Amino acid sequence: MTDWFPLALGMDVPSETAAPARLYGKEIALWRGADGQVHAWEDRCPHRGMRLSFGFVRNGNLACLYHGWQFGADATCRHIPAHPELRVPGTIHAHAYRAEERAGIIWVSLNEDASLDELPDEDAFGARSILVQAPLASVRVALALPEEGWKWQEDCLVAAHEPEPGLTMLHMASATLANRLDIAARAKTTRDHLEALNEKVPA
Amino acid sequence: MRLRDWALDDRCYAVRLGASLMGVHLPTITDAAALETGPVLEIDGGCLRGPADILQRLTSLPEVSRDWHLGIGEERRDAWAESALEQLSHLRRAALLAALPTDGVPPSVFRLMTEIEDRLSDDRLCDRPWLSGRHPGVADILLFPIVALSQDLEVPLDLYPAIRNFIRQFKALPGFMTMPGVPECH
Ligand code: FES
Repeated sequence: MTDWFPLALGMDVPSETAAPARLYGKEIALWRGADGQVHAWEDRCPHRGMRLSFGFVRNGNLACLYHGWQFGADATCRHIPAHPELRVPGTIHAHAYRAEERAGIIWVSLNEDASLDELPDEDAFGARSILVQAPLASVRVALALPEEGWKWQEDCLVAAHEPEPGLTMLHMASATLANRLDIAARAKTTRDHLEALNEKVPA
Repeated sequence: MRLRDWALDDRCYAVRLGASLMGVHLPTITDAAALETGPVLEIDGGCLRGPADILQRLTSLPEVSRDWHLGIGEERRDAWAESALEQLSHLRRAALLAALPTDGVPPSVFRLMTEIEDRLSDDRLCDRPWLSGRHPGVADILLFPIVALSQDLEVPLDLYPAIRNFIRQFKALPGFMTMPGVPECH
């Protein structure tokens, strides 16, 4: 079993924005600073539990929508607007996971020691993250996805994760920029095919 | 000119939102019937119904920038967006009025969101930033309440990245306004 999960296309988390993701129901906030670096944190503010993916990016920090606490790239709290003079103790921090951007896809590992060797090292351009209403296990079988959870299919990188039981997000990236539309069309055909297969399986 | 309006109705919101984005001063009068019929525009001594027709009428007012005018062949997108809004409005009323909470997202909502996501996603890859082309138009205004209020039906937005992108860029438009259920900033 791999340590890395493909959670989103890089292009779907633009600079200075945050986005929600889920992995087997676990809520994760993805965000990208002005420097282009992607972060993946537990989607829960340490203050009162607001979802950090609703937050906004300011001065290289992710600010919580609720009371505006700001967290730096290292996940420690840098600023509490209600107490502007306070030097925030380093013990207050968001819970960070490892995040790595490869082949147009954002990969997240809950294991700090995960090896980067498991990830693709070729370049690719994100084409489509598409919802498939079928469990990941059956998508894996139908697409013959290997253990690592991703593979090259000619000029297309295919990867998948399960946001919640029974639903799969299929992420497809293209080896060339020009081919992205073709690959996006292929993503739709693949989805329709997989959902039709899934409906045939008796519950 | 004035709008017969119900503040919590999604179709009425589309009209108020459009007027605000286009810089049209649109007085409103609260009319509970609009919850059923949708918005009604009193104009030129008559009544205009249907959010798409009302918004198109607003685009032709002299104070509105020509950027809001329809491109050639765009009527189909307006009609598509209007029927999508009708569907959501119907589903949302059913969900909000339900005596018991329903279990999970209904399949019809998944179908609607998938159709919208497919379209926005293809447009984006073709460098078409808005449903209406280079500039937002009536179809975009009709689409926004659907995707923003889909939260009332508990649609998880992590499943729809192109819709998320649309919501973000729409909220950044000058004149954007909210209604209950649409968070101010995101
Ligand atoms: S819950 Fe995040 S700052 Fe209060």
